[in-house]
Amino acid sequence: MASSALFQAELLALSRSWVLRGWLIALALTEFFMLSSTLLQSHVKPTPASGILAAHLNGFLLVWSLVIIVLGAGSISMESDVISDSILSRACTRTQYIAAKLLSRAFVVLGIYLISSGIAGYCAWRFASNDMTLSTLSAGILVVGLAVLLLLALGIALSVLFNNTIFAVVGMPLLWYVASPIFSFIGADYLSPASLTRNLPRILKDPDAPLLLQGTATTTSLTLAFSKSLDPQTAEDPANYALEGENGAAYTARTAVYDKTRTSVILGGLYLPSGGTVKVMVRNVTDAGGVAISPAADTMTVTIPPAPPGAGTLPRSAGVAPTGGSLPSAAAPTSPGNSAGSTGSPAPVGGASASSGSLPSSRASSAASSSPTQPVADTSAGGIVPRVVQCTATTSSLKVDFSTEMDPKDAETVENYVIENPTGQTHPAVAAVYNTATHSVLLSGLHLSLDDPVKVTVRSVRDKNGSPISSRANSAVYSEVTVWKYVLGFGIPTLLVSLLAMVWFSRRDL
Amino acid sequence: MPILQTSNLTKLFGNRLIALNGVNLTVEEGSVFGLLGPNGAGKTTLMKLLLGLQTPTAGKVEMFGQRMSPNAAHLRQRIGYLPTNPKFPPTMTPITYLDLVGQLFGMGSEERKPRLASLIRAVDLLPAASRPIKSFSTGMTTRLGIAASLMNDPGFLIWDEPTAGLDPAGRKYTLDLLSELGKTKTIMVSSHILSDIDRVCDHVGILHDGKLIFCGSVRALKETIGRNSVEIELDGAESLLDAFCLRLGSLTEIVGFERKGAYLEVRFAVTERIAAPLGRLLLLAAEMGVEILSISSTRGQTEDAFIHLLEADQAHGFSRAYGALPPTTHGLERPVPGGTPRPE
Repeated sequence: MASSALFQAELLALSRSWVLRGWLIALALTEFFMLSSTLLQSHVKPTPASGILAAHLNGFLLVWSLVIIVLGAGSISMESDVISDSILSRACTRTQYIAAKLLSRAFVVLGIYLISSGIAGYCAWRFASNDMTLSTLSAGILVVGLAVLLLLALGIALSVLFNNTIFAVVGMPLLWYVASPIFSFIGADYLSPASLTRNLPRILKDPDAPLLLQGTATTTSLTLAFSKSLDPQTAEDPANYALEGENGAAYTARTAVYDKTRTSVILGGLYLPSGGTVKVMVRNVTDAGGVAISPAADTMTVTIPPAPPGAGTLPRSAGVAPTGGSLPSAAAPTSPGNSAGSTGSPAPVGGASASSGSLPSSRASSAASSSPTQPVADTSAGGIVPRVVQCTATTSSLKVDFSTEMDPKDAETVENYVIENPTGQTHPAVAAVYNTATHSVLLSGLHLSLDDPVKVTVRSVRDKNGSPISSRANSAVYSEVTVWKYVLGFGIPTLLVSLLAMVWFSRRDL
Repeated sequence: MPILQTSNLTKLFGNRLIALNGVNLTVEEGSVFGLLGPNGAGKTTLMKLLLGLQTPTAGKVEMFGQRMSPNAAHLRQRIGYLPTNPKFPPTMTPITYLDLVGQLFGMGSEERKPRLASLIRAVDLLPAASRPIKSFSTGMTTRLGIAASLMNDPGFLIWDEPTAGLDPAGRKYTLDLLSELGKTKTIMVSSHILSDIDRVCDHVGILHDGKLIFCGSVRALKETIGRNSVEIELDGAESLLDAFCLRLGSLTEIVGFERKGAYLEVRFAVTERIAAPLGRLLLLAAEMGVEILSISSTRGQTEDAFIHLLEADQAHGFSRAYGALPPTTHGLERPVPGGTPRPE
């Protein structure tokens, strides 16, 4: 009964606190303006939801940390006389009292934080390009919530330690912000708020969000390879693919056929200028779980191979037009610069196939992969060039997994691997050993710090057929950023600091 | 049966201040114990130690036969504490605060609400019952503190300077209440106002510079000065009073007197049983037609005894290091001013 009475009394006192009232007003205003401006901006320039929410959560942690500190640090030191005379001289224990302090403040602060982050999360999820899942969203909110709790617990602990509130309020931010380099120095980056701030977008972002990895084109079709299985309904909607030529000409695919086995989509019914480039933008394509393609990897520029010698070509600048008059109008360029051009020669292989307007997807794919005009780099087996799947690292080695069997000679050349950290510092490997069975290379002799992500970029490595590695998927990042480390990194100190505060308070003279 | 017992209770604040020095104190159930001492003697520190609000540097406190500690809520359950110049949550009202206190004592709503209402009425805070405490005067806050200390109807009251900051009426009411409560409860009350202690307490302890220099009954305290005296307020013509004073010298039981205007302080040869010599003095006054307006016998004695003890403690000089007062159950043994030599 004493515990619940103290808890209720603390809640009542907090509700009358002007610090809390002022915070709520300021938070509501800033939340409204920040979210509305961010969301408006995301309409102009698509912004991933993870970025929006990360900015919001980081803002909460950084901007409002001072208020949280004041709420925590002033809890005991500001009223030690009152506590002694009015509460602790009655039938309650010190433990009950400090627990009520901790719980009531945690209840209020976390409640405010959850409402704030919940609104931001919903807005980001609903209105921005969503690249989060419920679990990553929850994980991000949980981790920042734990950091908020740690901040609060530290504030209360300092409040127990020092009678001077100002000392506690000033000392706490110093401790909080100075901690980051110290934690980095001692190799405990996961205790550091700066590390959390840096890695929050990665925590929020669905690591399995579909990525557009590779594009290969003929004049009549475009094959797009994705990193994972897609939702066929969204993948086979041609409207989800925006194609833009060099002169701003827009192309519209008539068909989009999803190849489940290769996780690729073949856009057909196109008439693209040979030798030119086309920018592909994928929108609203989701994976099977409904996660949208990552905004960070939903666009690429694809080079259309030049026409074979002797074949008629369309001048790049003049745009293209169907021959034989059978190409549906939708396939014609809609750019004014291109629409006028209708005097070109017949298109190469692909163009001729596409001119029928009804090429089955399998044939289109086959035509693309077997096209003699395709550069060597894009003509791997199945039309998919080799790529780096992932990498894993220890402090002394790094393993790179490839999507297919590689040429051992290339794969075991250490100069073909650039290993670097986010600051650009490179780490040369001493040896590289290729494993044919697993299609992986083990790079050894490294001295890596795993506090930061490690990026490996593979160059000049070919597969067993001689196809060079995809320029779009020739790198991978290894990061030890895992949610549970942050959960432990902030959760355990929160518990320890709370216990210490209880012990200190039990021994303190009032 | 002792309700409270301390042994060798010592408190040092951060190696900077010696607040208490080896205090051995026993308070028997049913007594009204007054803790006397000049300002800074350590009275408040001793009371906070008794309640577990502070932890002793050495020694221990036993309350109801159990050791007191900061987390000994079950012991404080039986104690009503009134701090000196109490501070209460400023945004609370008397109703909400007493309600919280009642909840802390585990009282149910059916018991708590009527109790707080009657206490608020008793301490005359009804008009201010819904006002925030921060708007209260010192006297109102003290009255609220009195109500809070009685909320759980405790068997043992610890009141630290309850008359501090009160107006004369409030002071009188508080002392009357103490006298009344003393009939049913054990009380420990501290003060540096001797007359308050003299009026309500039957036993007394004197703290001086953190050391308990006396612990015993009020009577025993008075006896420490080794003489009995009374102060008599006279009425009559100046010549008549002079004649009366001349005749006083003929009474063998009177060893001295001093007249200051209408007041006459008379010292008797005996230290006990002064009724007979006082009776003869009164007969003499009646015979000479001198009117006696008042006779005061205690106030001066207590003050004298108190000052005598403080002076004696000072006079002991360095030898005080060996003058530890043994654990004393007041009233059961004769106290020794300045303590007794430590047994080696």
